[in-house]
Amino acid sequence: MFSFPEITSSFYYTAAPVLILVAGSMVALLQGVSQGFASRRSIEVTAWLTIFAAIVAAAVIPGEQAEFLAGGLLSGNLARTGQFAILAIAACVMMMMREHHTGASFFRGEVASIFLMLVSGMLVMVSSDDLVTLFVGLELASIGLYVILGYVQPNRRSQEGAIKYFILGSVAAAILLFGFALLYAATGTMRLSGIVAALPSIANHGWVRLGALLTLVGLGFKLALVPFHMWAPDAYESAPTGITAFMATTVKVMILTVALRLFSGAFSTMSEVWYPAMLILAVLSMVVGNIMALVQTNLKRMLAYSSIAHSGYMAVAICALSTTATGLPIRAILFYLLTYVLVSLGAFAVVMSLETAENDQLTIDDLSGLAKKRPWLALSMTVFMFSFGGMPPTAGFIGKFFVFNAALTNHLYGLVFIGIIGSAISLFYYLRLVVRMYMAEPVAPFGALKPASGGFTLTAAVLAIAVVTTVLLGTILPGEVMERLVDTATEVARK
Amino acid sequence: MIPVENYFILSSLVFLCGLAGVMFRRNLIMVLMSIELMLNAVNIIFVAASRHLAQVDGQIMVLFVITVAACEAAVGLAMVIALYRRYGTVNTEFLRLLRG
Repeated sequence: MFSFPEITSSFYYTAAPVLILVAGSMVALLQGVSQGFASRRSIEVTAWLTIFAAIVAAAVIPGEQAEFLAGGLLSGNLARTGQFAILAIAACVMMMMREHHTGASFFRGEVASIFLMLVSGMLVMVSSDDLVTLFVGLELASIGLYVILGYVQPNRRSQEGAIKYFILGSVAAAILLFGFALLYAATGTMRLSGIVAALPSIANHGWVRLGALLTLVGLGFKLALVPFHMWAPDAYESAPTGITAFMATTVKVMILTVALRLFSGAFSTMSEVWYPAMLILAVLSMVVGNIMALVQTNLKRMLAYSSIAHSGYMAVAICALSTTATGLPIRAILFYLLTYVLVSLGAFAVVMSLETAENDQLTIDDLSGLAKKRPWLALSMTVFMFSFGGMPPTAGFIGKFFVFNAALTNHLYGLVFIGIIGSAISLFYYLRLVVRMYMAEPVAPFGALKPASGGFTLTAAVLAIAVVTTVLLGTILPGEVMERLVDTATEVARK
Repeated sequence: MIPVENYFILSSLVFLCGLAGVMFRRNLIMVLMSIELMLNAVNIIFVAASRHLAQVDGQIMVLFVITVAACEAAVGLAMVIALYRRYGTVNTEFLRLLRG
């Protein structure tokens, strides 16, 4: 006789953020078609209440590992950290969108509804062990992003970017699913942890190897690792900048969480397939990403190529998982991800506070002489560019240090060498921007850029937090943060 | 009895047809259909494996994949219609604003 498993209170604690977001999304959708509550103000109230309630709920997810719905939902440190990070990014992006010229079209019933729904898909993605749930969460997040990309500002550029992102994103999902299907056929389980446990006995089978390889390719596509990066520059350039900031950060958080769950236990058993593939992706991403960023004139496109290069550095740390001592690489990946998210959000916040409706595709030349006109913005951008380039005393330096340290501990000398060369190339275009801001005379009159508003803005608040945290993570906090990541790393490595 | 590997080979071939369609067709409707073909190729593996292992898990997954594929098709077609209204064609050669 079949009986339903008992639903405990800890299940509700774990599922609460997702449930809140889905409920909020439905409310926003209904508001959009209602007579009295469709105004921007009332949609904003719903969106903010939902996101804050979800953040509070995510903060109290139980830290001890438990699984619900046959692995469809996990509690634990990684799930809590991932959910909290994604929700915090979503809240920051909403703050910035509020003051951006696309804000009015973002806070419409259907757009806000899709946004909240896709965030719930991301939360499912970071706290699931089941292939079915993972796939549905991934598609919920991806389809939501395709729609938002082309719909918030429906112009030629964004529609073209959306359809390109749609085609390549769907192909990536299909490839990932093909890999999942072969792994399921070989192991007979839909659980990620079950697959990780079953792989050692069947690792030499041809179809298993193909499945493992395709899974990695699918994840590589979503992480925008070269040669699967073609969608990223187009999507990043064409999207409204707030959505670009959201995409560039949250997608990496959710995909790396899944990658950690899969790779931390299984990378050494499948290293004959995964290690060379990941090595190629890491090297190509660091080299091609940095070189292509060098020749860009569009600011957002340059940041897109730089984010591809940063995915490459994280792939270096994934390569370091090939040995049995996985604690250090896992912590390095998480720390690097944290710095990347902070600095990306900050850099895009700078871009957003300079954009106007007339000039929403800033070039690097547009920033010439910015220090005279907007000294604080120029200073924050300098901190972010230093951090991206890996210069002390910023978080980016410590992040690169941990990644290269993890790789050196595993004797990946060649990879570290290429990484350092890539960093040196990247310094050229990051510092070129700083030089432009401080030394060059304005090429175009500043009329195209948004003048300083004078008062307190939420975008400036996000910026200030990002700057301060970037500097703190580069000076006094890294030891503390790495201590706190030990629990998460041991939890991930145990599985 | 047909060995389960044969289904994997069939599925791989169908999947490659879909991938080739996405890469080489210039008509967006054909590209969308090729994406559907890829997802349905994966369904063959899930059903075959599920039958081979005497489990229902794979078949349940197929239901989800079909649903998700329908959602993707809906969003994709909506985008194609938006592009058709703007350009008067569904050929991918018109998508050349974003370069480099």
